[in-house]
Order: sequence, then structure tokens, then C-alpha cells
Amino acid sequence: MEDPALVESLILEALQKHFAQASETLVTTDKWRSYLSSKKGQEADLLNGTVKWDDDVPGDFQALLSTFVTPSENQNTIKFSLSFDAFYKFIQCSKEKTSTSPSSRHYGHYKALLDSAPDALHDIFRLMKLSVSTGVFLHRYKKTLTTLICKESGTPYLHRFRPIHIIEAELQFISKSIWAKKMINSAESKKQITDAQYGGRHRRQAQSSVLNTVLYYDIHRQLRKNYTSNDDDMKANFDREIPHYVAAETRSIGMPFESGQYLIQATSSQEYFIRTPNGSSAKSYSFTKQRPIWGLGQGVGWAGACW
Amino acid sequence: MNVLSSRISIPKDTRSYCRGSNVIDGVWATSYINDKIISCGLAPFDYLYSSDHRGIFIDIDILDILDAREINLQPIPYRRLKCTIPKRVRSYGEEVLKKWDNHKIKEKIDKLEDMSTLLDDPILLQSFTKYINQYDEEIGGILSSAERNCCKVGRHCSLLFTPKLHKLLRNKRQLQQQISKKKKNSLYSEAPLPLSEITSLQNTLKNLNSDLRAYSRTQREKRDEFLEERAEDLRKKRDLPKSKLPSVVKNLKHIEKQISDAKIIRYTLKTNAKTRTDFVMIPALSQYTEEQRSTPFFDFLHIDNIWPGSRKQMERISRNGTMWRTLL
Repeated sequence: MEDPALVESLILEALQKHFAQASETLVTTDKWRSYLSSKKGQEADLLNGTVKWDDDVPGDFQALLSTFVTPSENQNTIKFSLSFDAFYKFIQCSKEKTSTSPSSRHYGHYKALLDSAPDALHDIFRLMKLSVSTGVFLHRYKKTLTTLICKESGTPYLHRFRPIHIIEAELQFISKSIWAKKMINSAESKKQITDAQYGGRHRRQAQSSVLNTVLYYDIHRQLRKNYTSNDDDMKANFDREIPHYVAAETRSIGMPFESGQYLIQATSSQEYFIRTPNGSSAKSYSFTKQRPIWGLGQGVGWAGACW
Repeated sequence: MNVLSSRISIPKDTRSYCRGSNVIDGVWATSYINDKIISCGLAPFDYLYSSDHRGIFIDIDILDILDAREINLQPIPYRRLKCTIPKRVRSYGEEVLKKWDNHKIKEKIDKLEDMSTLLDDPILLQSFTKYINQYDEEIGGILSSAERNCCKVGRHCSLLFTPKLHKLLRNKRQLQQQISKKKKNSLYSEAPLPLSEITSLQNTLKNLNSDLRAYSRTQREKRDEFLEERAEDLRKKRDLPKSKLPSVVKNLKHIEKQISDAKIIRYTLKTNAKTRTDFVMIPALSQYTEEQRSTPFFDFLHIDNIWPGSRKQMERISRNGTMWRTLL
């Protein structure tokens, strides 16, 4: 398929199907979505464990939700706020060549402002902070560009693409500062993450697990011991995360109610465009009741942390 | 194809020439352009001005043809603002601060902060949402205009160099300097503005500009001539045989052409090699089973059939060593 119009429509259709994979789970039903995203549902029932389950709720699902029960002193321990120092450090550490911001406000702008006009950078931060504190989601944040990477390089099969989301630099900062940093640091300090979890953690990077596996193989070969390993690959795990469920589950780690609402608002209001050499696609897709899409998506700071 | 006959049904006795009996005039376009035509038709005789032919009009969707979709994500080689060039960063910062003051961004954000404490009122919330987005857009405009102005991109930077171009550009600069000097002198002295001198200089500048435009049209030939002249000079200087230098010139011309072609291609694509998806592959019809193909309304181009790929396709990938379980 080389006709640009046909390629565009096929890719958009395929991506919509890709992000709708989680639709078969129970959490995506209207009833559970509204229950899990409501303050009453999260606090009174799930976190405090006072829920009385109906007969139609499967036992496995009850068991899963009962893991959210948290002592009251561990609830709402993380503040949903941003600091200029964190923003400054984030800009300092980011690379200029990283593709970001569908609105063309690339990292180069912010990096140039660091030295030449720090006051302007502070004003930009103030505006971003206002949007977060008031819960008013900026229109600029609602556009996502999806780039596609072939899983087998050179053979771009329509069903073998890895979609990477490119979002606004500021939204990326919000997701990294609150979810990937504050939440993970708090969970690490309270030892809420298991030791065997690798990826995005201090001294437990994704590649560390590969290194460890190779070491196990070597050790067992040297000792001539029997060894069996079982590797399972989760299919599209970041693209199946359901924001409403994530919002409820992260409360058990100490996240406040507002953070979950922000996450739900951010993911459900996104309009996804694809990016090809022919430019950004004219058509797009977004969450609708008829064709719902899920997933926090790869390339966004909160996806890995919430997983 | 003829646009008129392909898009509208013209009655038999219609004529486009006053002494004719049928439509002899037309507009011809490629099928691509024909698809983008919104409306077309024949105007009455003597409509707008007197003529023995009828006017023909077509209305084209220009935006669709020119592809108004912007590629906002520019790769770093095509950006003007680069943090590795301090001069540009400095002028960018100055430009931003100047516009920041002109637009009173600080005061606007202060007002928004005051407003944010009273957001229980839905009308206030509505206006707050409106203003916060408006100011954000304003800031975006300031940043992108500062990026555009942080460095000057010369108009003739892409022209191929020859001594003639050098002479033209030097003369142009000198003329511009003379005009601005004369204008400035009249500002600081009581002498009247030498209008006639300025007009004659401006006319010369006009002629120079037209020369430059003419040069840009034939720059390739001029460059080739220049290279051959240089080669001839070198040959005479070093006393070399005739056959050796033409091959050097030929190679040089070829390299220059390759460089300019590569520049055009890079500029057109403006994207990273990793993100190029200008074609996709789908399972061929032969990859589906007989059973699948015999189902009513089977369309191998339909997404429901492609997703998640036919069984044979997966088996083929697994034989080639790819982990096929991820497809299931």
C-alpha cells in the first residue's frame, strides 16, 4: 500500500483497534469506570475496605480491588503540585534533539530561555501550574502525534507497529514530575514495589534484568545445574492501561484524588494524529463512547510509572 | 482530462464560440487536480468583458492541493533556534523579553492568578478557561516569532556561487548602503532630501534585483561555465593535458548535483529515518485460507481481515525467527 490516503486511513483504523484492545475487560464498562473514578468509590469503599460487593461481581475482580485497601495514614501523602526547581532541572536534563510538542514548542525554546530569559520561563511555569491547580486542561495539551516504529525493521506490517506518542513538553514534565518521580519515590520509600520489579527504578533499570538473566545462565552453565526459564511478553501493556483503574489503584500508594482526575481528563481528551513523511495526518481519532480507546501509551512519562 | 466534460453534463446545443455549434474550449487537468475542483462552468457570452468566446471558470480547493498540513515537529537540522549557537540564543532571549513586555504577559498571568481563587462561579470558570488558553496561545506565538527572528537567513544563500553573483550581491549591498546613508543624512542636517538621487539609485537597485532573479533562473549553467573556465585556467597554469581536467570538472559537477538533490529531498521529507512510514504491508490474498476467502463480502483490504494478520502470515514470521506469540 503506497497511496498516502489509503495508508493514512489504514493506519488510523489499525491504531484505533490497537488501543481498543482493553475494551473486553470488566473495568471499561460504564458502571465500573464511573465507580472507580468517583471520590466516594475510591475512598469510602476501596481504600477503606468498607465495600459490599454485589453477587454479579466476579471473585477474582473482588480480590484484585481488595488489594487497594490502605491504612488512612498512608492515604493522600503525595501532593499534587509542581515546583519551579523541578521544572528547571527537567529542562536542563532534557535533550534538545528529542522530538516533542505537536505545537512546535520544542525543548530548544525552553533550554534557550533557561539562560537568556529565565523570567519568561518562570511565567510559562506559572501558567502551567495554574492549569494544574485549577484542573483546566489547556487546549494545546490535547493534541498527540503518534509516530510508528516497525517491530521488524524494514518490513512495516500494519499489525506490527510500535506506536510512540509525542505529547507537549509541559505535559511530559507534569507526568514525569508527579507520577514518575513523586509517586515512585514515595512507593520506594514505603517499600510498596516488589524487589523483582525492574524498569525505571534506581539500580533496577530495564536492561539490568537482561544482564541478570544472562548472569544466571552463565552461573548455571558453570555449575552444571539444571535450569529452566520461562519468558512471557506482555502484549501492548502500556496501551492497555485503563486510566480509571490506574486512578483508583494509585490512590493506594498515596496519590491524591485530583491526580487521578487529571490523568483521566488528559487521556480521554486527547486527539491522536499520526505522523508520516507526508506530514501530520488530516484525520485523527479520539475517545468516543461508540469507539472507546484506552491505554496511557508509550512515550508518556506516567505510563511506565503507573504500570 | 477535460474538466468541463468530466464534471458537468453539457447540453447538446451549447456553444462556447459565437459562430460555432458546440463547445470547442475547455480546461484540461490531471486526474489529481480534477478531484480537487469544487465547481466549474461556462459563463454567458460577453460576461464581464466583450469576447467572441464564453468564459470558463473553475474553482479549485487550493488548500488541499498545496497540502496545508504543517509539519510542526521540525528535526534539529531545520530549526533556526539551536542552543549550541550562543548568538542565536542571545537574540532569541532579547526578542522574547521585548515581546513579553509589549504583550504584558506578566500582568496577564497575575490577573489569572487572582481570578483562580474565585472559580466556584461557573461563569468565571468559563472566562478563566478562555483567557488561560488565549494567553497560552499568545506565549506560543511570541516564542515561535522569536525563533523566526533569532537569525537572518540570507535570501541568496542557496544560489550557486560564481564571480558574477558575487559582483551582483556586492553592488546591491553598496547601493542599499548609499540609499540609507542619503536618507539618514537628510535627517540630521537641514538640507532637503535628495529625492532625484534616491530615485535614480532605487531604479538601479530595481534593475539589479531583476538581474539577480535572471541569474537564479540560469544559475546551474553559469556555475558550469565558471567551473570550466577555472579548469582551463588551471590547465594552462600547470601545463596539464586536456583530457585530465574535464574528468575532474565532470566529477565536481556530479557531486554538486548530488548535494543539491540531497538537500531538496531532506527538506521535503523533514523527518527522521526512524519515523518514515510512507507505505504499509498487509497480508496478500494468497495468505488467507480458502475458508476465509469463501466467506461472503470478504475484502482483503478491510481492516477487520488485516487485524491482527492472517494465520499464515504469523506462521511465516515465526519460521523466520520472530516471536510469534506476541501476535496472538
